[in-house]
Amino acid sequence: MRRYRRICALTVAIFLLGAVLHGCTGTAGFREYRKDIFALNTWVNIRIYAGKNGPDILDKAIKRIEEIENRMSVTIQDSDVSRINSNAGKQAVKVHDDTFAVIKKALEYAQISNGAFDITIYPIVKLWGITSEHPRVPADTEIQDKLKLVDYRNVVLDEEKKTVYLKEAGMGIDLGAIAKGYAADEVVRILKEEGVAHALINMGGNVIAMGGKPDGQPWKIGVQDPRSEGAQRHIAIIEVTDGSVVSSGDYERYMVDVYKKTGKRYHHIFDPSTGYPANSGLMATTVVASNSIDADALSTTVFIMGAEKGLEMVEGLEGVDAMAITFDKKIYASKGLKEKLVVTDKEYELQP
Amino acid sequence: MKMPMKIGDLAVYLFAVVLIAIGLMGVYAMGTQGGGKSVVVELDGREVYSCRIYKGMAPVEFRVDAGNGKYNVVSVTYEGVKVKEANCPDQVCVKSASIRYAGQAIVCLPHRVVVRITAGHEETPDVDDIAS
Repeated sequence: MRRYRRICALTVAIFLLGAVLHGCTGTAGFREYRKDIFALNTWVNIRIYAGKNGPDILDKAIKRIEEIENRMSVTIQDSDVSRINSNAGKQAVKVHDDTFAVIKKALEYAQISNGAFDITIYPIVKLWGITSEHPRVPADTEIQDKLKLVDYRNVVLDEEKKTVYLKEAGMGIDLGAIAKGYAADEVVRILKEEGVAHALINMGGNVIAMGGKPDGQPWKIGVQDPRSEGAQRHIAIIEVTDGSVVSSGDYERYMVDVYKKTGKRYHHIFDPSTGYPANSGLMATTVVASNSIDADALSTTVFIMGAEKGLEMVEGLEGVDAMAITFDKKIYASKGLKEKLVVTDKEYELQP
Repeated sequence: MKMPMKIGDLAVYLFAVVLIAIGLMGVYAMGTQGGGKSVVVELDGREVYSCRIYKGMAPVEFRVDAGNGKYNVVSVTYEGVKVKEANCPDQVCVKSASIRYAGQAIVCLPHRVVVRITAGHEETPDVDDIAS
């Protein structure tokens, strides 16, 4: 009998060993829940570590993203933004608190960057139609014509009534360079309220880390290779605990056919001072900040301003770091990021 | 009460232990073959296909039906995963370079299709996500 017992014990031991080797660890019933959706004109992926109510928490977060999309999308007919645009030069439009907050933030960044970041770029965006089904390179006269409508100082906010008014007929705003960041911060807020301590969110390339990994390590975020021709591949790694990493670049959305024929890359980030795709010598920028709305707006801003001016601006902002990749694959980084950045692709060279 | 040990009993017990051990090793090895990497295809957030990637695997090709006649053809080999063909308007997924490492993905926005390589138990990816 004793031998029989021993065999039983041995069998149990082998099973336990197997379970441990298979990684059945996890703390007190917490496990990873993940969800992918398409919203805000992009692909959104949320990973959280939670108990049994994980799916409910995810649903709540996604509902909020959809709510934000319905208010801030320029392609949804009755969104706040569409109503503001269709009433340009006519009347002030009452908007939701969140739309108001995002526009207010956008105007702050317009001031800080001296107009490099400008949400009134919409008439130019529409003219080129880079992300539409029929993109085209417009005539210079058309561009100059629309450029007259681009000026963030013609957006009038009424804090009391929560209204937004565009002074000139034909003006329009596009929150595409900032709304995703806001949505991400809102997701983080909801997850915190629900008691989630570890999460990783990816909103069309904007990455937001909540806490660290469940094992206590920081999240490792890759910086996209701007010349990978569409595949997700990283050239550097930034370790983040509680923070957002956002990249912008000429590789994201551009006229592929024109590029194939002429080698010229007409991309989706426009310079409000020229009306043409920003041409500041950069392929890409990455910004690290505590809030995603800041990282989102600033990655676009630095891309338009260029390495020197852009990084100078970032050095003046608290808790924000940035890097810029030039066409000759040199990486320029702010002081704080130089220490943290690990370049993993030998073709790219971090400048001292 | 002591029972005299019979050589036959011992043989049976030993045989049982060896069988259990071999069985468990087999299960464990299957789970980790080729580093345990998989390719997962999601349509509108739902997993519609997955397949393990391991050295010496036969190349696999399959069609993702995204509804209304929309499709993407994905080709999987140990050397890499790519979208071979698709009838999406922008063809971004088809033009994407092939992916090979855990954490990499190809996304077809018009068809709401994500082709992703995931790590198995044994493998920790280089990065948890990519800011792109």
